Amino acid sequence: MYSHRLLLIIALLTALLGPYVLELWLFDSGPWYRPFLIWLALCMLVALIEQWHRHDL
Amino acid sequence: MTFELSHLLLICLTYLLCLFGAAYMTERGMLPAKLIRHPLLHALSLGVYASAWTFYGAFGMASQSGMLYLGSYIGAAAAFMLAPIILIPILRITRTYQLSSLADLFAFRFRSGQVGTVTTLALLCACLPLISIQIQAVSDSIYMLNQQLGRPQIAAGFCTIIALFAILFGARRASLRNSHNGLVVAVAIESVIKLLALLTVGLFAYFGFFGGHDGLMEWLAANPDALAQMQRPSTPGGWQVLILAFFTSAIVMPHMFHLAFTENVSYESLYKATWVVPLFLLLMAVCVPPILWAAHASGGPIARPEFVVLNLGHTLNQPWLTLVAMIGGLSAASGLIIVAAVALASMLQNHMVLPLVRRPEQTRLYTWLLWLRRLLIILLIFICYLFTITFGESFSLQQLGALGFAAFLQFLPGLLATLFWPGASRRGFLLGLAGGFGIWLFAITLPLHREILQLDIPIISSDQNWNLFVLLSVLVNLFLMVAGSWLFPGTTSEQQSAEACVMNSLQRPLGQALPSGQASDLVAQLEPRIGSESALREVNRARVELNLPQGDLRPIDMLRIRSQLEHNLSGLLGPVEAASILQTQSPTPGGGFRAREIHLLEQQLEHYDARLSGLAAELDQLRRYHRITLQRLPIGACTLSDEHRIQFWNSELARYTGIDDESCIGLRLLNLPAPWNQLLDDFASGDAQHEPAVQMDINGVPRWFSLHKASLGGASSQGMVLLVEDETEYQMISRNLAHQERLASIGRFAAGVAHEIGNPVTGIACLAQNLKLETDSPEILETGEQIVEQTERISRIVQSLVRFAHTGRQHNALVCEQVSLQECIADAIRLVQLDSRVRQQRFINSVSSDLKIYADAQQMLQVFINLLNNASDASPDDGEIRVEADTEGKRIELKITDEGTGIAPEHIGHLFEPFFTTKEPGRGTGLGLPLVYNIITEHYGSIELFSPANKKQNNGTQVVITLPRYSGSSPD
Repeated sequence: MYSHRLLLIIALLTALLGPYVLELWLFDSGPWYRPFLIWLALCMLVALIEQWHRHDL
Repeated sequence: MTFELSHLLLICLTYLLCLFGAAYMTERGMLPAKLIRHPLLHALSLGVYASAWTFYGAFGMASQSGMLYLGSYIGAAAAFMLAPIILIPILRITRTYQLSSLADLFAFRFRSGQVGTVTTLALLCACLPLISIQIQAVSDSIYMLNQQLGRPQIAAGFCTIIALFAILFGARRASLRNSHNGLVVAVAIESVIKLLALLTVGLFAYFGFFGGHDGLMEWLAANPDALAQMQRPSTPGGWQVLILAFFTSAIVMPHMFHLAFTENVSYESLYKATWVVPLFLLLMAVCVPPILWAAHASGGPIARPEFVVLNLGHTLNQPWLTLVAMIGGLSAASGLIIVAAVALASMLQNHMVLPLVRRPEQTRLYTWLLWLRRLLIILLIFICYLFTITFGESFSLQQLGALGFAAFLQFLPGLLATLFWPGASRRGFLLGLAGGFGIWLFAITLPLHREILQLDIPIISSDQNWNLFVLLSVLVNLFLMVAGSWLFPGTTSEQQSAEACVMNSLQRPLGQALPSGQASDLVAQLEPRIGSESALREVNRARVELNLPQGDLRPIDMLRIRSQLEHNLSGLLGPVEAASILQTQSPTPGGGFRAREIHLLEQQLEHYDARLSGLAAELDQLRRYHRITLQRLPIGACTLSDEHRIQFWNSELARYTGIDDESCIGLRLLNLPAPWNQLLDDFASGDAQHEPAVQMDINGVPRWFSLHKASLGGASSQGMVLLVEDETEYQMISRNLAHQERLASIGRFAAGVAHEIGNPVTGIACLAQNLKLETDSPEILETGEQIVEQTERISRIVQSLVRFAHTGRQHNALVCEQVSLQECIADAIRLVQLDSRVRQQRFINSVSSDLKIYADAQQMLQVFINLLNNASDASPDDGEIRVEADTEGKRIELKITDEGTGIAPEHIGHLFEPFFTTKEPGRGTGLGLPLVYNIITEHYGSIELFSPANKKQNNGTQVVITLPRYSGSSPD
């Protein structure tokens, strides 16, 4: 039940904010490597969450 | 740019041989198991996603659509970042139900072989262009380096080597669920190689060509069009469809599904993949712009932008760079083809061949399955080869990729329904898939429609509108699935499977009656389909896996072995075949407690402790509380099904009966060990609700139990609860109290009789004395003397009886005096010898007359009477009982030894416990030795028993009493 809510929120946020976020992320004029830096930061965040999950196990 | 053909072949063969070597070493156990099972290695193998389409095609897409090329990377990265809510639940389902492919998953979810077949066909259609891309990329890349061989010849050679590898390392065992570690290791190595290859070219372009960050920025400043082209806005809606398509493909593509779920050994590797795969894709993606710009900057012609990475080395006059790029492309292509071929072959086998073709007689099942799969792998790669040489020339890598990935998107509605919507039905799924694929087919044959139908509507006037068709196909698919499910709801079994698949739902065991029968019945059931040898082997394997003993199986074990067999056969033949083989004709039971098999449900719930949340977690806590209450109840409790099968058995009942719950759950009451089977079944079947103090003989010891029962529902068909109360202690105490009361009455009676006899005996003795004074006749004097002696004897016996009657008064203070051990023992022997049987036994009193103790004479007499009586009871009729004493300093050690049967070792420890007796019922009270023990300890002594006393003949018992010796003054 709780995961369904999470999924609905993710789907809703993706539908509403996705276009703006991706336009800003990928197609905004700025340094060419900016999208990759944001991506790297996202990977590090997910890695942290994964480490946290392991401690939680 | 030309390389020698022999050099190219040597490099390619060396690379592939290295892969063979790594896979071979893994299979032979030459690599450490820790390394092979490391989650990181498995996460790296998921890099198979980055195929030739990513390695080469991304450059074409970046050149054509700018940053839109990142869509393929971002879609897959999102799928892995969301692993906890998408991939982990799928892994849970595939592991629990032994599912090895997407077709298996859908066939299980919708309980239909038809769904599995349709899914397999659709996946095959989607994979054809994808695998063709790989073959085309490899043949094109090698052909660009050397034109000696034509593309078809290169493709044929490549396909042959790849088919060989797939057969050797992807189809080594008949079961699909067996891990192919060699394959996983090889694919992981390939992932690393293609990443290193691309990074090498990228770093060379960045540092070697542009001279680092500043050089690149200067070039970009001088060429603003290049950056603007890369960052130009995308087609409206184009990237959303692209990301969605790649998101779905990363999960449902056969090779991804195979490595993520079928070859996966742990959840940990998927958690690791949440950041390893996105990082891997990031490193692949970040190389694309510098390489593309370097190609532009070098001024070389870019005829085919997808091969920019290969041409850069030639443009920059760095042949080694070209070779590195070629090896990267080769590894990207070969990894995908191998795994996809293995996965597709297993799907074709389970969902298309096995339902149609029966195993030939006289053929071993495992061999047949293995060769069938190998044949299918060869056939698949051959079809892909034909597809490549037929259509490869007409389509670019991008076009073929777009076709494939759009087709994979059609599985997204079904996948989401499997995980989140139990309302989806088989017909809804099939309708949706048919609608979605129909539009997809229409879109790919668009040029044909234009020509034949002369259509000129704006929406299909340009190939650039493919994303609209893709979006339309998914929406139609979704709509038809929802509408179809609403119009044609699923069956009960479909509903049960849906609930088993839905995320966060409990894996509730399906309601099935406990099967009866034996393992041989299962063998007979499997025999017609898989052959006698395989049937026996599978049943024995399931037995070993469940650690079940040979011989008859309990019903619960039969259920477990059936489940295990279905799991194992599912891995071998797929879930549809496995379920059909093991399908029984028994009707599905109804509701109530019977259908749910409470103990199975509880076993499942025990594994869900940490995973339940909210109300479910609170209800589970309540369940645990009630369960522990029943378990710890100080009264035996068990619950029964309507067939009198045991559903619950608490620890107190296990203690009473010596039968633990593991061994009796699922048994009928009649199958319990005696005497419990008869007792409990008679009571459960009878009308009485209560049965007070039923006597049982357990291991020769009488026990008493009270029984109570109550129905668990309004009707008896919902089972009952039985309570068993141990009343042995209460019964023993009350019986001993009654016995003591009888003894006390006898004592009082004996005292009264002794008193009444004493008076006439005294009179007789006086008259006999007088008689001696009134005559001189020697005969009469002799007679008088004898009368006096006999009356004295009667007096001694009467006095002994009176003393015995006065013993056992525990509350009286000790009346201690100087007691001669010899006399006390002699008195005891006289009393014991009153028993007619005992008179034939020989009592030898060897105690010295000078040994004295300071004690209560009455109580010591009681001690010796009890001990001599015990010795007499245990001895044969002509036995000898010896009483000896010795001094050790200030203590006397008295030994009473008999030649009786002795005492069993297990009884020795219990002899001084009240009410413990080894004598026949009615002969012993179990109070004699405890009384002796109390009296001896009150006199500062100790008592020990040794049996056997005579070790040579292994008989007899010796009682050793140690008491303080009297030396003129009372001891402290």
